[in-house]
Amino acid sequence: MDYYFFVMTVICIWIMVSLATNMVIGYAGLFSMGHVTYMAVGAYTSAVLNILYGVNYMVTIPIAILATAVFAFLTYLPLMRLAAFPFGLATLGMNVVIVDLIHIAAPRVPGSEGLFGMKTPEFMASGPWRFVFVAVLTVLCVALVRHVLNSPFGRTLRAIRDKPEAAEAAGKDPRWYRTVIWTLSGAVAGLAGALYATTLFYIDPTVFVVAFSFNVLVYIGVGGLASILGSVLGPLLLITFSESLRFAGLPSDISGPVQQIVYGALLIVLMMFRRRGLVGNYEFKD
Amino acid sequence: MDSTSKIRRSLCAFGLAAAAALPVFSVQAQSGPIKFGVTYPLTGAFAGFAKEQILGMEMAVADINAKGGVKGRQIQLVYEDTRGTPEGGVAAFRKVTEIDKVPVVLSIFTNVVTAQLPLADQLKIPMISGVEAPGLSARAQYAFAHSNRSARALNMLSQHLKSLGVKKAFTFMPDNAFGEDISKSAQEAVGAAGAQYAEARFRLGQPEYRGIVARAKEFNPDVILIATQGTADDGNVVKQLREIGVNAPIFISANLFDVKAWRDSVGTYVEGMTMVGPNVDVTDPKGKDFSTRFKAKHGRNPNYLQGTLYDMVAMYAAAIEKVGTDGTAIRDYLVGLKDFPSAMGGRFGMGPDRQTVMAINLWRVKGGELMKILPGQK
Amino acid sequence: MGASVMIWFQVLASGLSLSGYYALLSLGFALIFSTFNIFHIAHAAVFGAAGYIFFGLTRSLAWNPWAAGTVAVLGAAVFGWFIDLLLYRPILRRGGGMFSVFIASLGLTLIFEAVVLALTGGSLSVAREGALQLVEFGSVAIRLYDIAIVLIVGVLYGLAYLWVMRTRTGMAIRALSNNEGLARVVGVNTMRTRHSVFLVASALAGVAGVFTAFDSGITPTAGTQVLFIIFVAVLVGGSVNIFLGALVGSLLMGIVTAVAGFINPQWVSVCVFGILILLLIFRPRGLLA
Repeated sequence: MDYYFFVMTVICIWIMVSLATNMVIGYAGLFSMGHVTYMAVGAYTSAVLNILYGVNYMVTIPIAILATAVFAFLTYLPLMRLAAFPFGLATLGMNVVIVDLIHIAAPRVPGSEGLFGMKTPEFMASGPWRFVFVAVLTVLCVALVRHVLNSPFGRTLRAIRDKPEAAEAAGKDPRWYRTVIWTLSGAVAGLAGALYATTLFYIDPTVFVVAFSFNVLVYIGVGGLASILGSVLGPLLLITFSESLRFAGLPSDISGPVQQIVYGALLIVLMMFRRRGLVGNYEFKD
Repeated sequence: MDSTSKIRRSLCAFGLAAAAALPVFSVQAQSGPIKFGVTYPLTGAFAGFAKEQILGMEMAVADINAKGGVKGRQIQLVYEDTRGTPEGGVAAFRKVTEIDKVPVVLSIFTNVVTAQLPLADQLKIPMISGVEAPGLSARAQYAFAHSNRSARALNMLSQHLKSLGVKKAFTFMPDNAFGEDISKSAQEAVGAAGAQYAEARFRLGQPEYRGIVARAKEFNPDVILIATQGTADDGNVVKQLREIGVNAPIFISANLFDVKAWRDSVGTYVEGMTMVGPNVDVTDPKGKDFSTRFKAKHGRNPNYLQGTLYDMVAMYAAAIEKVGTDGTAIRDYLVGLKDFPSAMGGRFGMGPDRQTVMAINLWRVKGGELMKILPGQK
Repeated sequence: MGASVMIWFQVLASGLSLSGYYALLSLGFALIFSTFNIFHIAHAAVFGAAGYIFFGLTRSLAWNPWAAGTVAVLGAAVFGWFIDLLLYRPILRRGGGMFSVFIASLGLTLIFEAVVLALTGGSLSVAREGALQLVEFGSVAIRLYDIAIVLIVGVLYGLAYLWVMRTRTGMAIRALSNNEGLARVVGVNTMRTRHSVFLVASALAGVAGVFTAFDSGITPTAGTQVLFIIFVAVLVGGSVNIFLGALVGSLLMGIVTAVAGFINPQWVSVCVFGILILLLIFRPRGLLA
């Protein structure tokens, strides 16, 4: 059964990252193509503290969240000045650079390319309990984000996304709202990263490459922009789909490409016929 | 609202579909085939490299089944895609062990294997891989490595360089954990040969090495050493070295003569290269037989990667024949493995850290043919 | 002392020959980007398709390289044209914008990579076997092949420049890249211009694909890898003057790749994307703006 618990845990983690990405793309209209960057920062913060400095895993989680939030805030400051499309490309560049910087400079366990050997509390040793822990945090995250987005803050954010001039005329500073949501989004991705590090046992730069940021775009594109439900449905349906391919009995040399072909085709079909995804409330303008 | 009920309905339908997709759990049947789990990248940048090696495994399975299988049962490979990522590796390992109930696993690539190590111990499932990263197999009691440690190859090269009177050696290696380890061994090997040392680390998976090869040109070495993991990238390094006018003899830490993608990228520059490592030995009857049959099936010579993969399947088959499908019993059998016949000819045994020790030789490419040479032979 | 100066000339020469490949890809990419505001990621698939057609024809069917190259370039042109005809235009017609087209383009690239992987097994495909002729200037060795590429790139740039500056289609391209709405009012035939631009740009990518497949070889993801560098080159060059922009951007990227590779290869993509990020922040309209 541990296989199923592992897959469910992974789904929960990608739900968090999708949620974090949807917060900025869907609700704030900030087109991020490199959100896995923040996941990497959270994962490495937690793993380095735990493995190399012996900090209790439970303590590393809030530190990872905080560190990632600060990092997200600092990276947003220069990004803020860019128009939508260059913004997307710059975040993509950020993802590439962070992966290489980790490869060059991050601490690693000798003889490997990353970090492993995290010490987690007793109860997290079993697959089912690790899943329960991650699932509870995912639900908490979803509830918190939902609360924020349904609050007056969230409404203003959407107003800024749709009519920035009008919002500005009403005395709302778009920069402040966007910076807050970006920082918060970074914090959620950082939490996901800290959880990912223990779920996998092992992290290295290959875990955070741009391809995974693109996967997240597919998840929320399919699920739907500016929708909490969409952020949950996307990873749930697509990861279940790609894992179920393992059971389809396809020959080994087609089963892999099939998944990628389906992802690509989904993107095309969505852009052609349903740009807001399954349950989305927003369509990205140019 | 209508849309929410629609969502609910589609979610229910999805749940049902997912439930239907789940296979019925079953203990591995006492009849029917014995399954070996193969967690390899079937997609991604290294899929092509992996696919080549799988040919060796498939031949071993065909041979064993033709002789009546293991304990009267056929063996079967269950492939799972790791996508070359740790996440894919863990999911694939769990899937083959829990759903397919495989008693043993074959895996590949340092980052994937590192992520799988704790699972091997936790589930008591032996896992053999061909990774050369130092001491990786030492980290888990159920992990084995069937590969040649590059330090041994370099040691042999060192004697050779010394007798050739080499003064300056430039070394290329991948910029990963393997490269980091090899850097120390290479420095020692070159130092022991009394030569001056310099190195550069190249990134795997890129076609362009024209910047980095200029480093070797600047150093103006008598020989170039390349520490390789058998990918086609080293081939491009060789080609681009030659095409900026570096003509020093090239020594490479594995016998890649029959690795197809590598040969394709090196082209005619393979002439004159010296290689060190294990290889299919056609002067040995067993190696000759393996080579002839592989050639009949695929139209080309087998390489050492295919040979070692063949051996891995054979090791598992021998273990299960002797002690059954219990993971711990198989592990104990493999730990004590001695004098096991290799498909490539010769014999090998299990060394410290559950890492095999196999025969290696020096080879020279001359007139488009591979010939065995002795250390010091010009 | 002389040797250490010469090695820099060697690195520079390598960078220049790399720039040749980049220049072919970036000109087409920049033409499409500035004329129709389409971020054509699938340019990578067009490049790859040409490479694989060339590889297949020369290696499996033993065609003459010139014939195979011509067929591959034509194939690439038609492929690129189809992408616009069957993918981008329907999306735009249904009200999608630049972003939707970009995502669909990404989708097509993913499909292309997966199909090629399934067909070829994914290992490196190199069309040539033999060695290439070198010419030596002192201790700097340059391949005749690279000199040929630089010449061919020069000729193609010249032809493309004449096309844009001297023909009716070219006038339409200039009008469109300045202001599409205005161009339509003035009576520019947008459809015809679209056909021409996609055919020409894809043919240029096809030439780069053939050269790459012949020289260092291609993999399913080779196109996407090089396209990352191309879009940095195009953004660096800016769209004030497409030709000069694509050329300057490609030269810079070729030299940065070679020099960073020479100093420390680990820093190549940090340098490339570092330049992108700095540029977007400090000169969002390109280096030449």
